[in-house]
Amino acid sequence: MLIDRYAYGNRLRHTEPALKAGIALTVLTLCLALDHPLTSLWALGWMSLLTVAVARIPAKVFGRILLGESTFLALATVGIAVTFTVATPPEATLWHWRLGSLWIFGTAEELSTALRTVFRALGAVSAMNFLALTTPLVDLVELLRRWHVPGALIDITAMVYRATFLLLDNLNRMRTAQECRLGYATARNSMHSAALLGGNLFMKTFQQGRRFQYALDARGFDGELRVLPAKYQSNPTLAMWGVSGVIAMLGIWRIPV
Amino acid sequence: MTPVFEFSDVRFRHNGQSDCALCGLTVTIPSGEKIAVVGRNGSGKSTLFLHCNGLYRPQQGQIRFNGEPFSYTRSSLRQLRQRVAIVFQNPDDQLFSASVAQDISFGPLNLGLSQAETARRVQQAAELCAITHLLDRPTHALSGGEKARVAMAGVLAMEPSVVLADELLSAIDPWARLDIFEILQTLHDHGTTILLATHDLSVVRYWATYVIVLQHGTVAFSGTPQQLLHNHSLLEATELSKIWWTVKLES
Ligand SMILES: Nc1ncnc2c1ncn2[C@@H]1O[C@H](COP(=O)(O)OP(=O)(O)O)[C@@H](O)[C@H]1O
Ligand SMILES: [Mg+2]
Repeated sequence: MLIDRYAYGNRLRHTEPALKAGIALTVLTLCLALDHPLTSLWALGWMSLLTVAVARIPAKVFGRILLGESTFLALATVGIAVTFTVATPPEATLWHWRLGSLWIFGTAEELSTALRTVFRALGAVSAMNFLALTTPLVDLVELLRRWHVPGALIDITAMVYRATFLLLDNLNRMRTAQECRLGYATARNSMHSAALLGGNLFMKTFQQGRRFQYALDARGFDGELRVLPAKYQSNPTLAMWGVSGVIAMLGIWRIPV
Repeated sequence: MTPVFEFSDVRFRHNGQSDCALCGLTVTIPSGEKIAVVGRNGSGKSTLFLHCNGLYRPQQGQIRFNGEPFSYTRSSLRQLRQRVAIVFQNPDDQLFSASVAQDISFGPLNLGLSQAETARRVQQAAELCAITHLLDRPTHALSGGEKARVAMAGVLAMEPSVVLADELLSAIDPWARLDIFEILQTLHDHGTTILLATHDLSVVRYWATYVIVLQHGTVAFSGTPQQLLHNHSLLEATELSKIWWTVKLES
């Protein structure tokens, strides 16, 4: 998985995860709470800068992920900006389009609401991207442990993470094997192959689960997955960047729009 | 010297199978030896290993460990698993943690060791298995040979006196195999009993000091490699002569 690879290979890998999560969560909360397009825009730029310039995640990768998310967001907000009606539209439309008796139109107000929503969401999403791209799940799980989140919940998260990779591995292997024997040559046998794949994957995963259990028991598992906590470095530079970014957000929030 | 394991007339049938996996298996496993366990697929090697640290329980018969009959209470199983460790056939079944160091720390922490002692053991096991440079890696970003060594380290950090390795060698290349043999040799030098399930004649001939041949869930032979390799009729009867034809069996 792409995100996972960068999470392990960036410049902030060994930085205290509490700091990274702190920055990300503060920016996220401010974006949502202040709901100000300029602060959101600033958050987007600031978080991108931290991710690309400080953590050294390739701009291309960061851009691609953000593009995917923006597309999704844009589609979701089209519903806000566009209105359908069979009655005559109000006077103040920004644009309109007529299909027989159906009117499709948007007002300036709606457009501004839609843009606001997009910016707000993008600011929040870029904060989460920063965290996801710089902090592997192991460290996040470690953080949850320190924050006294119930142990069972943490164990499940860790196992699901591991199981995801095994599942993807199995899936890829089985799909390749099917493809080699022309399992996806036509639309009809594609469906058949996919159904077989699904069934087998389920059985395989089930068996794997049992073997997992044996292996855990063999090493003295007693219901709790205890592992050593990891060691992290403090990073005053990043802390400073984080604090100044947040102060700037609050400053920009005073600008009226 | 007391044998590590004594199986007497052990029977075990898997859920939903009509045939037994162990069918009245009787064998004495000597301590401190390098033991090769050979036999065709389905002959019961894995089932035997899973009995050795109490993951499977015989449906009939008895097993002794260091002269004491097995007891299946929580605390005795805990003690048993501290001393008898299994390295599984597929390392992917064994590695659960997201980072290598954390995975290795799992066993020692379960033994109730302190974090400091655990950290020491993780380091020591990693050095023995030559994986110190991997400690920080996620377990899914390793090659097959690396996974095998990490799985090995996870077990060795518990400092067991018996190590069972189930066809550990089949999935890795010959160079990675050499690394594993080096680790096993170090363990042997420290008095650890090692059982290795394998199909490889060179392992039997050049590595093992004791051999157990399984056939249809029973022991067809147990003794020294010399005794086995000179026993023509047995090699014929167990079909081992078929797969070992490339090597001249008699000296
Ligand atoms: N989980 C299982 N469920 C049902 N039958 C099994 C299971 N594991 C092994 N068996 C059966 O038990 C017998 C012995 O298998 P096993 O101990 O895995 O042999 P080996 O390791 O020598 O290949 C085989 O006949 C196999 O089909
Ligand atoms: Mg087996």
